[in-house]
Amino acid sequence: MRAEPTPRPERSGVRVERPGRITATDRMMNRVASILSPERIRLDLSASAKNQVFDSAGRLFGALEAVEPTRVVTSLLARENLGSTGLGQGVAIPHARLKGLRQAVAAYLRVNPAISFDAPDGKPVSELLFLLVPEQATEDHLQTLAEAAEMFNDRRFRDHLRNQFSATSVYQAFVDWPMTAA
Amino acid sequence: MSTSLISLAQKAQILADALPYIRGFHGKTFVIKYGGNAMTDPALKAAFGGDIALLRLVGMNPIVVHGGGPQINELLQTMGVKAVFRRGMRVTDEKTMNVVEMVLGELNQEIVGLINQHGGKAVGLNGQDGHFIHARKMLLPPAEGEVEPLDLGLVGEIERIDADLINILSDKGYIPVVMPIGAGPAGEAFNINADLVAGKLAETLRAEKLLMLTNTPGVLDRTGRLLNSITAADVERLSLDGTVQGGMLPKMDAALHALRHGVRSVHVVDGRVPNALLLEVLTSEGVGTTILPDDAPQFLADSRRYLEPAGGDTL
Repeated sequence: MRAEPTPRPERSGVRVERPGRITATDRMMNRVASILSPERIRLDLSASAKNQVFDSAGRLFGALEAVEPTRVVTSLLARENLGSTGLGQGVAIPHARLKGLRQAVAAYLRVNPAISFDAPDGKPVSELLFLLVPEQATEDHLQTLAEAAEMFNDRRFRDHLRNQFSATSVYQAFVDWPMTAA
Repeated sequence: MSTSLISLAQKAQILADALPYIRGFHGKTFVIKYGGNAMTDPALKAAFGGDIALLRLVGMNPIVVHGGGPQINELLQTMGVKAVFRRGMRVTDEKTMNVVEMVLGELNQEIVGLINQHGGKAVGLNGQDGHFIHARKMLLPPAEGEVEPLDLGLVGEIERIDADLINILSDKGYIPVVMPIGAGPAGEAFNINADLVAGKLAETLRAEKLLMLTNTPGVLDRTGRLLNSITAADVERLSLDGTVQGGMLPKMDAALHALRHGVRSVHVVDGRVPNALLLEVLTSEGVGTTILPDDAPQFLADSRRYLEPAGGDTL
């Protein structure tokens, strides 16, 4: 099963301080939600190729963090060269390691129509969770990536997420994962 | 979904959403193993014919392979031919073979009709046509204490498939519908498991996908939960530890073989869901289990490689 679920991170240990932003003080909040925020969610993107979406992600990160958009794009593409970050079922988790970045940040982009992404199932991708991580603490970042993959392997989560049409409700969907049994 | 339940705008959106899939899979070959309820329930049958015609008309290359299963047993019973099974496999003598060929031929024509009713151009094929499925007699290893291999009569295994005939037809816009009969060296007919024919055909044609319609939700784990996405290695493990059993075994054999010879993905599709094929090919979420080759991108392994100190961003 792809993305073999790794041991769930210690939730109580996740606490991200970002003055002036939504602070993840909820003890139950998962890693991904704790580094995402509604202002880094875009749901109305239209693009014709992977590079265009990466450019948008670069600009979005560049506007909110002290990172150079072109460097973000170059680093994201370097990771793609090792193998597509498409998971299948229309989802991808592009990510990059950036020198000088102080802490991990996430952004969520929805693109319509879906774009070709060389995903394992050959299907185009419309939901993209971007992650930028600092150079240090590799294990920590892998845990975050594993959690992100586990989220998107959950069909109920995917269905739920696709039915959210505002940045705040998408953000809430991430915060609410894992969803309690219906 | 009835018209009253969705608005025109939603309808337009659904159609527009299919475009990237149509574009991505344009000209790609899909081998579809047709069987189970989808082959007996009238509403599901009609939906299947429409799905195949649609996939072809939007530029994809569907190839259908079908079995005969329950219909063969029914006719044998009616005709008073005694079914003999050894090690779970039907011993196919000449009388039985006649019944098998009769049932398959009839089903084949029916499927061709179903597709053509929806505007497709289906052509029925038997592995003897143009001698395109080369078969040989299948002999199982001798039982304990015996010397002679186990003889199942006219049950065959595939030696190879000549893709020419199929390619000529599909290049011209026809939809091949194949029944699982192979031809021996002297042109004699052999009865072959339809799953294995579908798998070998997908492999020979280097198909984008092998889709197998079943009467199950998909591949299940030990606790009966549906597995959404697994790898070829997982399939091997599930077969060895007995999680996968019975009729699912030849399907898994066919899947493994296809994946290890260039087919990009195999889908065990819940054929009881109307338009399951369209959902599988034209939307992000299929109905069943996706099986990927072992060398498909491994998200976490690749990420580990990328994040490890030696790799990654050195800017």
